[in-house]
Amino acid sequence: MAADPQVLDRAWRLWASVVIVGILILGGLIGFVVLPMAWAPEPPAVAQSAQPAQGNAQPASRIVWSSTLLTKLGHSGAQTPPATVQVCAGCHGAQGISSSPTFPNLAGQSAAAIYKALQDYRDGTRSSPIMAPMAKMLTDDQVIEVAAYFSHLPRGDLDAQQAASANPLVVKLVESGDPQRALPPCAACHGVKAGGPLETPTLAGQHKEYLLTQLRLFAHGERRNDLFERMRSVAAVLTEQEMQQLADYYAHSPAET
Amino acid sequence: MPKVERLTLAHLWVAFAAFFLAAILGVWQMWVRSPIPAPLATPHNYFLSLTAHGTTMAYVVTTFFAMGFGYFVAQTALARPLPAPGLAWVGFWLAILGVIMAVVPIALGDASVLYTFYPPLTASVWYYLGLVLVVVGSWLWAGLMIAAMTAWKRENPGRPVPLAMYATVANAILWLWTTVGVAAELLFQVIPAAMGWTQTIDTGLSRTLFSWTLHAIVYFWLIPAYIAFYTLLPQAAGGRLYSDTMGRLTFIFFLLYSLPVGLHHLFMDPEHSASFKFLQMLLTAFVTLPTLLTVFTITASLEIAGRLRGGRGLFGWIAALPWERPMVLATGLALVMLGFGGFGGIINMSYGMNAMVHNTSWVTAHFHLILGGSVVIMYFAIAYEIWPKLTGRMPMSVRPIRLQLWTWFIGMMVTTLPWHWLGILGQPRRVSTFNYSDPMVIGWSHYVLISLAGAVILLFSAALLIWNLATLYRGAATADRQVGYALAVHPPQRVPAALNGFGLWNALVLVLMAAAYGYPIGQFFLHDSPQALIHHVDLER
Repeated sequence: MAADPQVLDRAWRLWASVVIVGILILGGLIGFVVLPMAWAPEPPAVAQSAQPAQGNAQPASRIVWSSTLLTKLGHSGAQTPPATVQVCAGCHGAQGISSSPTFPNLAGQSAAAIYKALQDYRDGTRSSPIMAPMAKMLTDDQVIEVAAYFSHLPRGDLDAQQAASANPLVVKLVESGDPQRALPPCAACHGVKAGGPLETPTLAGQHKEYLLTQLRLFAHGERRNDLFERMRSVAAVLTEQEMQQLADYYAHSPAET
Repeated sequence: MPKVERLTLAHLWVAFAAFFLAAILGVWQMWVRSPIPAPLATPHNYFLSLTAHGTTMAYVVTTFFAMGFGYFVAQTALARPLPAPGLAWVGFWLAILGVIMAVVPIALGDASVLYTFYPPLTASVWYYLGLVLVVVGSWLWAGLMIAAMTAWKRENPGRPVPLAMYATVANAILWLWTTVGVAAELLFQVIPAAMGWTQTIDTGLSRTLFSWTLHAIVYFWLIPAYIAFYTLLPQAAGGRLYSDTMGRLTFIFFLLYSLPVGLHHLFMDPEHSASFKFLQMLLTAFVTLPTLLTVFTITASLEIAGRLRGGRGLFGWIAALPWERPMVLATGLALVMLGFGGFGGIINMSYGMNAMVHNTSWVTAHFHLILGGSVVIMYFAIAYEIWPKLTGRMPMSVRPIRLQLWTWFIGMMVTTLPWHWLGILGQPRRVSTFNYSDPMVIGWSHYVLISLAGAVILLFSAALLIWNLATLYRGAATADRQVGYALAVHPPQRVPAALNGFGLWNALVLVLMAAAYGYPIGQFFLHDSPQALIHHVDLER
């Protein structure tokens, strides 16, 4: 009997199925019945206070990124400048290259970064006597139009020569950070193909004066619209000389650094 | 040289050349993580290199080796020509094209997402399309393996399929099942994201689909090593296989239990209930069965060989074994690494203990011991065993071959044992830079340095492998082109259909997968699940 393959096979089919289903039932019983009973949370020994703690904490920024918003930012018209841009152009330049080094260049800036800056000015999480009233005049759609428009402009001509001769210590800060001071590399967020947050601005080709002012504002806690205090914690441990060098580095770095 | 032999050699050369290049990257990565300043050490370069190393070792080396060895077994174990060898070459060139398409964006820094993808990080679409082509090429291989066995069974009704081929087809079927998860993730989630067709991705679903693939793929890598244990080693040691049935059961167990267990990679993830995690933990525990069966059967087979060679007493047979033969030596070394790696794995799959080692160097140590240790050393042994059959030339000397196997073993142990300890100390994996001035981190530095020394030994061994393979073309000609597959003590005359095919086991895999993954995947379609914004790593800022 045992030599007959047909008979042999019937037993294999039966027992293999019984064992597999048996294991599943055992796993199911323990996982879905016994363990949930054992893990059932005990009622709290002391009644919880009905009154939640009153805090004054406010988020550093109120932006909520959604795919709808990002689609609008990515696809809004780049060809014809929206009427609003004429106002911006007064300081930031019609081509996004600003007239004064204290005003940032906007040409080729990330649309998400411009959008966030304007929204932060609108709701007061970032303050500026010039920009706050300007931003408050804009509607949501106009903010998107402006951000999308400037993001599509080509970035300014940059001095690659000077970036190549940059101080190696600064390059190290940019590329590797300084673990001893818990400083992440700048390039981790601001670099090309970096993994930083969506709203991280592009720094390449920005005015040195503008970058330096922002670093100082972060360092002294006067600018506070960085989520999780990312830039405040970075700027607070940079020396004045490093801030100068970093601002200089980015002001002269080519677009691909 | 006949065409099919050229086919096997082409696959194996691609595998080993890629292996050598990825080994260089591995040493550099270890150097970057150490306290000694390394050249070009930036986080950007580290994650680029890590992606290249993982993609090459996990997808290129293993897939090409399994395909090449499979074609060899199909032709030699069945003693019939491969059906449709032209299709095999199509698969080879598709996979080559895929490798190029994947490697170029990695080198450009457009795909630093690591080989496990990690959505919502999204790389250049060429990276994913390249990997899809590698998988499509391997699907052709899987189809050819099944076709070869089916044709042989038709020509030999009632006879048991040779164990080497039965195991190869088990691996081909396992691979078809395995790739369903990652294929679904890539085709329906990641590639649409990379193309810019979607702005968000359900990372819970994508992680779950990848977990479907992520454990079974390890057994796809492992099975060629086990085929060598069962069918090449006993012959090389001068004995017989203790049990043919035990071999068949082992490969069936791999097919059954390597798939419905992937959630143990997600123990720390929030998207699954503890109940399903428990169920899959229990099923994972059964994966130890085929390995324990194998350790028993292989030890018994070696004991037969040792006693035939005159070994006496309780342990005398061990000393009597022909340890100078590469296959025997490699098996001994592989089993030691499998022991350490396997017990580490049992800790990983235990829900509670996993929490302590999750995302630490412990896990890296575990899979390097298994894949980089026991599996790869058997790939070397298989290559040394079958190369003379393929080229018709004997090795010039066995000494550099033994040196290569020993240095690989020593290097891997020296690299990974400190990693285990570092993991327990809390050293995270996937981190490029450590602050060695931190009082806690400074205590890790000497372990990291020992690992770095191990990595250097490994690189030496990888280079010696290439040297050894190259010299295999210069040895004396031999007429012995017959592969000696091991005979069992009781060669099977008739086996039940269940042990000669895969119909029953495929049905049971379906039952297991429906129970283990049905709801964990279905929940993403039944309930609203949170979406993550896609983050392109290949776009400029």
